[in-house]
Amino acid sequence: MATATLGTGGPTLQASERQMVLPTNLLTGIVLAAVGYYVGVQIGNGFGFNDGLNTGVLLGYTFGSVMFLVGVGFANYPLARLFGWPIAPQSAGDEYRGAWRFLNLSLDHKVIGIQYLVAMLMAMFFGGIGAMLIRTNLLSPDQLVVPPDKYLVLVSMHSVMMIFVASAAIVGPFGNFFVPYMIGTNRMAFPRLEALSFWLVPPAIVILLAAPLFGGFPTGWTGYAPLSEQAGQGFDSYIVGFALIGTALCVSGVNMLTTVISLRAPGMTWTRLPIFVWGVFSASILGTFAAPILASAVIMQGFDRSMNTSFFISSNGGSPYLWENLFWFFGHPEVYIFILPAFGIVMELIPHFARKPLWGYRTAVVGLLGVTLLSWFVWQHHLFVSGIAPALRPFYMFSTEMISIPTGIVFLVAFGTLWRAKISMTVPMLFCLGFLFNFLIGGLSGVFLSDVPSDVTLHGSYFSMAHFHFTIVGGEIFAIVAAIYYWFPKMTGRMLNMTLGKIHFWWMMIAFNLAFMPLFAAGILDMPRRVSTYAPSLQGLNDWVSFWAYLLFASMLLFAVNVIWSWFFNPKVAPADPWHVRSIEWTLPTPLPRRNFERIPTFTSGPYDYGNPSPRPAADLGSEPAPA
Amino acid sequence: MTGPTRTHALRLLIAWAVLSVVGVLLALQLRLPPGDQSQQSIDESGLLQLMTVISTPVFIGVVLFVLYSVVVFRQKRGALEDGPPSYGNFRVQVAWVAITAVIVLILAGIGIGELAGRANGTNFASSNQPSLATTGSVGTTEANALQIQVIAQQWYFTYRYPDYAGVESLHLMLPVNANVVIHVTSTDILHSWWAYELGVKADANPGVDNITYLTTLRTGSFTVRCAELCGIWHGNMVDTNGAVVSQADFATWVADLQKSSANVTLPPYSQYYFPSPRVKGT
Amino acid sequence: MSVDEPVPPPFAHRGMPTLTTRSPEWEPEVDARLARVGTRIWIVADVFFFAAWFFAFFYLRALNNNYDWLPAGTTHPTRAIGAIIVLLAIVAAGLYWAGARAIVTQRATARLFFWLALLAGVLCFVVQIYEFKNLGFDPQQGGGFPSVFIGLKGVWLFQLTGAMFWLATQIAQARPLGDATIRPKSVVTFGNFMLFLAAIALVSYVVLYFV
Repeated sequence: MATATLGTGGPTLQASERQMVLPTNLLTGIVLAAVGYYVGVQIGNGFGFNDGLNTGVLLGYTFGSVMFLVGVGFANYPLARLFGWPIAPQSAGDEYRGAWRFLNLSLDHKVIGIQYLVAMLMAMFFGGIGAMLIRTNLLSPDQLVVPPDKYLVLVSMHSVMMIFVASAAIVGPFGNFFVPYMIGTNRMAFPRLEALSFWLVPPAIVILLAAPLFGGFPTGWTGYAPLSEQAGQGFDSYIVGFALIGTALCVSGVNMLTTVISLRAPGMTWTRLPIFVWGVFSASILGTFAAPILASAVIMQGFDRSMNTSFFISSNGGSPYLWENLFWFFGHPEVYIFILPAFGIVMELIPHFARKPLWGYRTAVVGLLGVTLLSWFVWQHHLFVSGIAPALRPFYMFSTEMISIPTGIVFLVAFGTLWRAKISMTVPMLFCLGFLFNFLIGGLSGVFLSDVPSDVTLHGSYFSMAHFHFTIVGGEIFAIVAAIYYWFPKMTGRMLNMTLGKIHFWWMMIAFNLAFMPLFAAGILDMPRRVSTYAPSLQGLNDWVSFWAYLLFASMLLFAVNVIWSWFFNPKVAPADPWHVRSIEWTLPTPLPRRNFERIPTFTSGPYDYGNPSPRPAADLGSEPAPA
Repeated sequence: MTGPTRTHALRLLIAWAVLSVVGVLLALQLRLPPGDQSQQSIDESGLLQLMTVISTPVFIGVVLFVLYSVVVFRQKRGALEDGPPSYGNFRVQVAWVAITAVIVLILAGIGIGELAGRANGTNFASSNQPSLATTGSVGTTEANALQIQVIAQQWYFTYRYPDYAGVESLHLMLPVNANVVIHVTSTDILHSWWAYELGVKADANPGVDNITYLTTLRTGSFTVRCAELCGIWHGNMVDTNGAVVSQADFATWVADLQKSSANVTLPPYSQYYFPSPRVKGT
Repeated sequence: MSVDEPVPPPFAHRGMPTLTTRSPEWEPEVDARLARVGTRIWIVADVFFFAAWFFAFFYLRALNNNYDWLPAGTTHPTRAIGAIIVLLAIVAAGLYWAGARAIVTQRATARLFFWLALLAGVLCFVVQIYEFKNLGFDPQQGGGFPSVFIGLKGVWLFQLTGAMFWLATQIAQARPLGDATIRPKSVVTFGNFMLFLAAIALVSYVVLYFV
């Protein structure tokens, strides 16, 4: 071998990518982001447009984000290419050690998984504080804690932040971390795109958190157009934030799809793919192809606000309907980006803790792909009363109700797996069962909303708000928490405290249901969404909800204490296979070696072959033990 | 089916049947809003109740199954046994998909049936343009429906009666036992006109005539709210003074309204309105 | 091992561990396959991106809100300039495509073709900017068509700029031991994206100038 460029450390940065003119790291990124922001604002305000202030903020955010990425190190690879420097496929070793590694650009999918996990938990905390302030304001129908404009800012911040979290909180941490293990590969297809998909998230969150400095924005996460054109500079945060998140979804999807399609180990056929990988795969299909629509739509908003085009101004030849169509054409696949990987987690965990094969594996895959396909044909059910194409409403009603067929398959598969199984009531399993209960309520209430005549009453009311909180919080967040309890030992090398976990589950389950169940009633009793004042007769109900919402938040704080304590203050290293399950990631040592597999495994059976009279190995990892 | 499987299945089936019957009977006792002030609210209440009745056995079935499995099919403490290696039962899967498909088809059939009925607010034939009639006539037949224009703006609704020379009111007054065609539009941003007790909701868009239908059945007041986020005072965009009154009272009221607005100059009536074009580049 | 084995990067960094063994998953063949699959997915995603703009075109045109799709005094831009832009985009893509296929056998020809493609792309950019400067209408005066025209052409131009940057890096790497030489199949794959951009230019030309 003529050279020594190729190494053993997994996909990591090479020397020319670490240092160009400046050493590229997080601090450089922050400094350059500030410089970029300042330059963007100056250029924008100098363009001489009528409302140059929006142009300034938009350009400031955009330049700031780009310069942040440059400072973190994303420009080094393309610039090294441009200068004609040698590009070795990879090199070994990481630039940084210890915690500093996690704060800097890394191309290791394990590091990116951890980065995503921490960022998502922090963003969820911000969004949760927003929820608490909203509930505080709703303690009284007229005595406002914050004035109505600030209240709308709170609602919008909470919603957009939680949408950011929900769209990336499974594929980001767990998809990036575990998909390469589950399909048996040492690399991601495009590690730089994978890293980019993470590093776009911090600027998006910071830009969103900056919105209140510019007066916030009053539109909620839907950003409906003429109101958004009325809004001040705060709405520019929405535009750039969603553009960044949309780009992140798209590039992460390209990476994930290519990885799963092209890098499966020998024997890892499509019918042996763990169901979690199928969930991530189908969500990535939606993310890759729906997010560009969102990007286009927010760019139109940006043009309308900075260059005075009139995409959404009806007096000038535009139409608010254009935004509603584009937004929901993205927006409905988006909600399945939330829930499909959650289905994947639940269907992955139930066989392991029921110690039975996943019942009806192929049907489950058909169900996931069926949801993926159908989700493109339902977006106008958000617009049943909008007046867009009323004659098409029967079609969208039918396609929406069709989705309950593949969703029902998920329940069937869970049932079949639980039937005559040997169930261990571990904490992850508790959260999976909680998911089944909450998502059942969320799904059934969705049927109420899918029917046009009943939707006329329920649309835009607290009923629909309760519906999507049951599916996203009760569904996706429960699945995320299950996944954290389940995979935390493998990701961090520490077990979470399971006694606290059991307390957390019951506390969260009860508080969640008691907080959100009454909101269905509030919706049926004439309470529209996003109002800062409401009918005095509903005060008792709202106070009840606020009380349990506080307790729900407290249960998440308990979880945070558990995570922080177990991760940083618990010296005991977790066993390699604490759950005694067959999935391949648990056959590897803890802590995980830098290089995933010393030898690429050969899969000889599926991951769920419990109770098989002649048990076969899930993967042939070779005769020599993997080094510790 | 083998012995233990049959026992488990029978137990579950019986428990499910009994609980479902109880649940459905309880669900049938519910009187769900929006009520009976219009044909639309009666239809919607009925539909909401029907959905509740259909959902009840599904809900009970899932919860019962999961609870039963969790209690009966437990791993022994400290043991690590595998369950039976069953990978799926084709007939059960087909049956499950078929049953859900049938339920979906029934629901869709009901929904489409309700939509096809003209009273439920589709405009398959959107020929009901408000013509500015000068002589008032309260529409008691479908062909002669009362036309109402709802104009939304930040942060209140205005009602125009094109059948009565386009007079304006800030509160909606409707005659009982009348077919009403409601044209919802906006002069600034998106709103949504929601007459809760009447069971109608329609988005107000600038430059759009969004049509919905209503048949009033009972006198009484109703609440109108905005159901689409429209800025700071969205929550305060409420009017509790809407009312369905007798035909005679309505005639008196509208005559008074016409008299009092004889000297008021109103903007010309239009099917919809555009906000004044944004002056650009100046 | 062939002589084309990559040499170590000249900018060695302090604390860099010694590199020892070769890992099979980073072979150029693997990268080529991934690039092929990934580019196809990326192109489909980009189809969705542009679909939004074409949807905006036809939707606003059909609605013609306030009779302001084509405001009074607004005319379609000159078709000749539009045709030049499309032709330059097609020429750039074609030259790149031809060059990429020659990169293994005739590297000098490939580089020449790449340079010409870059020239065509930059010219395309310049002509597009010229067209923007001399439109004859201003989106600030309202109108659906001016908005969509500026928007669609603007986002296309942005992507063209990105593609030209990548093309420049391919030129820089199309030398002995350069990345484009080591992974020739990845170079070919990028041509698909160039062709895709040219196709979008063609479709938008038909839509924006003739419909």
